[in-house]
Formats: sequence, structure tokens, C-alpha cells
Amino acid sequence: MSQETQTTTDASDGRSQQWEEILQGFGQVFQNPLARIGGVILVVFILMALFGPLVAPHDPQEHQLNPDGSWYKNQGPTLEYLLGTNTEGQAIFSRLLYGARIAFIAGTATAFIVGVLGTIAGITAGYYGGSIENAIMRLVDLAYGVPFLPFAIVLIIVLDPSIWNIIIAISALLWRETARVVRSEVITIKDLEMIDAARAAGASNNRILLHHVLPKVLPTTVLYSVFAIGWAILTEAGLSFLGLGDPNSISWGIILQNAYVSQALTRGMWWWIVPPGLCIMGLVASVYLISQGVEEVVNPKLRER
Amino acid sequence: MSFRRFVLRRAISTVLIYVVIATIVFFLFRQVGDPRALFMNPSMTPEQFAQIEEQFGLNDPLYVQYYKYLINLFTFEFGLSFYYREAAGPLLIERLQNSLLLTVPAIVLSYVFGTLGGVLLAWKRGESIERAGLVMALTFRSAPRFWVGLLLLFFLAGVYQLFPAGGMLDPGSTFESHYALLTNPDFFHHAILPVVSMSLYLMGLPMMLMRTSMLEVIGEDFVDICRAKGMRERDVMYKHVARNAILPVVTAFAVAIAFSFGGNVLVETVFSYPGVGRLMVNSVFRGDFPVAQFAFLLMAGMVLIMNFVADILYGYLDPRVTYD
Repeated sequence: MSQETQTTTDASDGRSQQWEEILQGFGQVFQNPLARIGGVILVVFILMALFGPLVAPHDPQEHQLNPDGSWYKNQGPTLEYLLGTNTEGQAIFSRLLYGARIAFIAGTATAFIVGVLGTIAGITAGYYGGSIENAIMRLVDLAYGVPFLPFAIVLIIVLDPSIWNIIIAISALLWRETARVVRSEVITIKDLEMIDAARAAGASNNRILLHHVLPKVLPTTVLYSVFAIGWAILTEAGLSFLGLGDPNSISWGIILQNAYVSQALTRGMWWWIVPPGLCIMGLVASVYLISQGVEEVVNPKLRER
Repeated sequence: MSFRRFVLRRAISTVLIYVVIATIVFFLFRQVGDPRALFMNPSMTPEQFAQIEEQFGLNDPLYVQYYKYLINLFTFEFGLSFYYREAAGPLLIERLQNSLLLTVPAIVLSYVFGTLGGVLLAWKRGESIERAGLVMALTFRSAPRFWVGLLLLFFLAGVYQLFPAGGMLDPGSTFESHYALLTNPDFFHHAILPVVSMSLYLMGLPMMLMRTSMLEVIGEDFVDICRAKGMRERDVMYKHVARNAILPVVTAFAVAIAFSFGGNVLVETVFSYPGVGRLMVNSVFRGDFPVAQFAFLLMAGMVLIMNFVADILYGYLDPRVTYD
């Protein structure tokens, strides 16, 4: 009896140690200088998404007026209107501040869905093998056979444009990558002695999956979820640019679509075209820079010697 | 399993996956509304009505419609475009060729330069040149392709007037064949900006892949032996390490041709280029469902074929791969 108690404490110790290693791993991410730079840029955008709408100097939808009551439109940057106004007389700087939220919603929600779906599919396929694995991997093959953006376009036409439908459309295909990589990792993990030991000690499949397999694949899940953030933000911008964005919201892609449709190019309105793209690029780049650090944790061969 | 059986099995599963995708599209598009609206519109003549009804079995039960749809798909009978009032098949094939004329050069350029750059990054590991290259690659991958296109249009076509503002040829000019296009300087003048905006983005992936793969090979023993022989570091990197590291890039290349069709929808839109992606988007908005539907299926077919080629190529190039 006493021996049995002994075993359980050992197991729980080993578990907490494993989770501690993971936490350390996330600390290691920011030992990479590029990841640190990415982290700083990301914090700036997070602040923008959280507080942007509070500090925005103008209502993003309101038509700004001249003293005589006509629209204050197509104006270049001034001190009051930092990034000028568009053809509707709306303040572009304020619209830009509001746009950050959509980018974060699209990025984080997609990363979460893709991480959860992909990891569950990958672990199940890799651990159980056989016909379950076969079925899941054929689904992955199917998802790989579908052209990404065209599929998202078709799905949104069927489901109606809204930010959540955009997230669904992106996630519907993006889980394939996480699933494939997690599966191949689980196949090697499955053969480790610790798994045999756990099974010999009477651990159930669920327990093994949750306490031994999951902690080992978690860094990979995180890496591919980080990639998914970047993909989702770029895809949301692209879909919005094509006119498939949520018509009731403001996103950077929608600002660019308005600019393109309103001939901002021929009117020479650079203040309408350059800033939204810079925001998209900055946010996605910050995420990719952090992914550099994550990659070194996942794949130690990449670390500098 | 022998290589031949592996190829055969992959071929069969590719066709099966295509049928599944076609099935999903069949039912997805029927969510939009009446199937009649998918293939006919009021401006068609009664003869055309009758012909379309017959060809797609629109008066028949759903399973017959589905069966005829699959037959039509594999025989390239795509029905009539509402908008262009012509057969959708030849139209789509022509646009697909237009797209390839942009996509293939963009991918070749980006993979050549990306791979060479990736070798350099791994070679200069830890030096400032690596950091700079990494940041550059990541920045290009983070910039939306359509926005890069907008910037190029704004500055090079708008402000400096060096390039035309879009399209494939000057307004009013026509071309005999796609081969004739390749000898037409006007076409190149129109193609440069879209190709550049695609390449800058596409270059990032082979660069990062090559770098990662190189870093994994660089620690192996044979590299030390090369150095011990007194070989120049440049030769060690470009001749020995690169050759052992290039496999992931080769497979990514095959897949990239198919995958970039999706993203190039955006670039084609920005530059008003008559490619298959832009045709699909426009058709979706015009309610031109025969064209939208089959444009999607054509792109899906490209993706599947290239996935298949990549798998075979991988097995062929890497003798360590076992087929199971």
C-alpha cells in the first residue's frame, strides 16, 4: 500500500517537472534577440488594440466637416488629422486605431481553433494508429488538396461575410499543418520507454495522452499556432480587400479596399494606402519574429553553438 | 511496397480526393440558391436553356444531377458563362494559362534567389548578415502581397510612370497565342510589377526552409571531413551541405506552384490581370456561378496534381524514404 502511494507521488512530481520544463522553454523563446524585438513590437500593437479606440481623436465613421458644412475630405496629414481623411471625410488615423482589434480577433481565434483541432487530430492519429489514423490522415490530405484563399472565398459567399465566418473559413483548412506535424511527433514519442513504463504502471490511454504525450508536443503546437496567427491576419486582410470583409466593422484590409475602390492610387493619397499595410506587416512580422525563438526551442539543432 | 505501387496508390487517392472536393463544391454552391440559377439566367435563348438543362440534368433528381456534374467535370464541359455568353471551358483554360505566365516566373525567381540566400544565411550563422537577411525574409513574408502590389503601382506606375497601371497588354491590343505573348515586349512591361510583388513574398519560404535544413545538416560529420580536406568554406557550403539540405525546398517548390494560385488572386485583382483567380472572384460577385464553380475546381485540380508530383519527387530524390 505504501509503495503504491510512493508511485503516485513520483508520477505527479515528474509531471510538474515536465510542465516546469515547458515554462522554461517559453522563457528560452525570448533569449533569441529577434524574438525579443518581435515581443516589443507585439506589445505596441496589443496596446493599440486595447486602448486605440479609447484614445482615437475622431469617430472613425463620422464625416469630418469644414466650417461651411461640407465634408472635409481627401485631405493630407495635418496635426489634427494625423493621417488625413478619405473620400468620405473620415479620419484615417482613427480608423487605423480601430482596425487593430479585428486583426487580433482573427489572429488569436484562428490560432486557438487551429491549435486545438490540429493537436487533437494529430495526437489521435499518431497514438491510436490503424484505421483511425488512416481516416484522419485522409482528411488532412483532403484539406491539403483545397486551394486556400479560393475556398475561403466560396465559404464566405455561402456563409455571408462576418469576422467569425472568416475565422471559420481560415481554420477549416489551416488545422491540416498542425495535425500532420503533431502526428509525426507522436509516432516517435509513442515508442519512448517512458510511455511503456506509464502503461506498465497501469495508466489509462487518456492519462498517457494528457500527461505524457501532450506536454511533449505542446511546443510544436505553439509554433504552428504562432504561424497560424500570421496567416489568419494576412488572409483576413486579403479577404477584406476583395470586398468579403465584415461590412459593419473596420479592419485594415477594409481600409485598403476602400482606398483601392476610391481611386486613392490615382489621386496620390499615399496616407490612405501606406499606413494600413504597414500595420499589417508590422503585426505579422512581430509574430513571425517570435516564431524564430519558438522554433529554436522546438528544434534545438537550430540554436547557435 | 515497390515504388510503382506507391505511385499507383497515390494516383488513386488523388483522384478520390478530387471527387470528394468536387462533391463538397456541388453541395456548397447549391446552398446559394436554386440550382437552376447556378447554370441559367434569363438572358439566355430558349435553345441554350434546353441545352443546359439537358447537359446538367437540371430537371432530373439530385443524384442524376450529381452524376452528370461529375461527368461534365472530367470532360471539361463547364456550361455557359452568364457574363461572357460563351462556353466556360475554353475561357477558363485561357485564363489559367494567363495565370501560369505570371506564377511560374515568379516562383522560379523566388526559389532560385531564396535557396541561394538560405545557404548564405546558414553559412553566416550568428553574424550580422544573417540577422539582416532573416529580418528581410520575415518582413517580405509579413507584407500582404496585394499591398506590395498597391505600393509598386502607386510609386512606379503612378508617381514615376515607369510601368503601365495594370492589365496584360495595352488597351485594345490582342494576342494570337500564349506563345506570341512571350515574344511581346509589351507583355513583359505589364508583367514585371505583378511578378515582383509575388516573388518578394514567395522568396521567404524557400529561404527559411533552406536555412533550417542547412543548419540541421551542418552539424554532421561529413562536413568536418570536407573541411579537413582543406576545401574552401564556400565550396563546402554550396557544393556539399546545400546538396544534402535541398530536399525540403524541392518539394516545397512543386507545391508552391499550386498554392500560389490562391494568393495570386489578390495580386491579379490589384493589377487587373486577366488570370483565373481574378476571374473566379469577379464571377462570384457577378453571380456567374458556372465560371466561379469550375474556376475553383480547376485550381483544386492544380493543387492536387502538384501535391502528387511533390510526393513522387520526394520518394524519388530521397532513397531513405520507405513507401508504407
